Amino acid sequence: MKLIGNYVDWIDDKWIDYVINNDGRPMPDKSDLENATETQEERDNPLSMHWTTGRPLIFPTLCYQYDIKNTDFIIDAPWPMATHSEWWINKFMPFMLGPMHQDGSRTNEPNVKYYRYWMPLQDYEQGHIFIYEHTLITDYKKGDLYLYDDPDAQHCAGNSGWTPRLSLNITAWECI
Amino acid sequence: MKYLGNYCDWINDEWIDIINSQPGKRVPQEQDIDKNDYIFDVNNSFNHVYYEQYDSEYSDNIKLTPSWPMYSNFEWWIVKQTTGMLIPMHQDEFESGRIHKRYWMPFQDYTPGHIFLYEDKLITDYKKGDLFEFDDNLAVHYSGNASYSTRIVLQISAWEYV
Repeated sequence: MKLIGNYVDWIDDKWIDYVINNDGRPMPDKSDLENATETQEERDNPLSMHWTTGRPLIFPTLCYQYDIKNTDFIIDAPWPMATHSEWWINKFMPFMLGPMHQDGSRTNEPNVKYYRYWMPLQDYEQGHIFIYEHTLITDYKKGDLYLYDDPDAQHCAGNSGWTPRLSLNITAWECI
Repeated sequence: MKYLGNYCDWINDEWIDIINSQPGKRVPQEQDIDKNDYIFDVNNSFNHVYYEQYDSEYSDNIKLTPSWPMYSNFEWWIVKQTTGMLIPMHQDEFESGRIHKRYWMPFQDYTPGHIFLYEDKLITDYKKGDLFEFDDNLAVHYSGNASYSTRIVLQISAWEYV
């Protein structure tokens, strides 16, 4: 994870109020689960599978997700980025834990370069889990912007603390 | 966490078979939960299990006598966490009038998604049977399982009276 800079002044606290005070989309999405079918690749390597599909039926709700479809705000990143992007905010309530996974499916597309960004919307608190590869990310500040060294890196998030954990996630991509 | 050595050969694989094949004691027990606890606000019901526990009272088939030098009094418990289980961060509590040592031993090699966080450090790269001692008995720690394989760890608290 490479720290790009801090954008705390760019964060609109209305986003945080909205996320704290509104239900997000419970993940994994039930419709995804109902329609999920495993591919051979997924059977061979469960960690390659996007965590909204299939196997995480054994999980309860992993987190609540917010994006352009279920919020009343639009996030337009001010930092230089690839031409296409999508964003979502994850809210992990205490005791929620998502599995280790890769965001990989899209990055398999040829001639497309992907960038994965992660920005905490709070200062680090003990119990707030973001594990990238084999490292717990700690000591961050609200608004710190990180870029994955490897967009396919395994990672997971959860909350063993007592306050909601909020983060902004962005995937950006461009044809090469 | 202080590494003390590897005791893989001391682990009886029958213990692991028992743990994998039989349910342990669910922790927390429902009667131990404060109904006003945040856990109920989050889940609206008692449906979160931190881990399943196997100990000398609950598991007659597991007889466990540590082979390393230790205080003469001890209690042990084995933690099993299946996918998604998570223990809230906490500090252990100890009775007064004792000096304590806390030990931690994984029953498997490290697997990504098997989470043990001691203070703010993720413990990784361990091997089955590696024995660790807490540097600080009051260290904040927690564990969870974000993988698709069951996580099994032995815990020991040993003490002398002072």
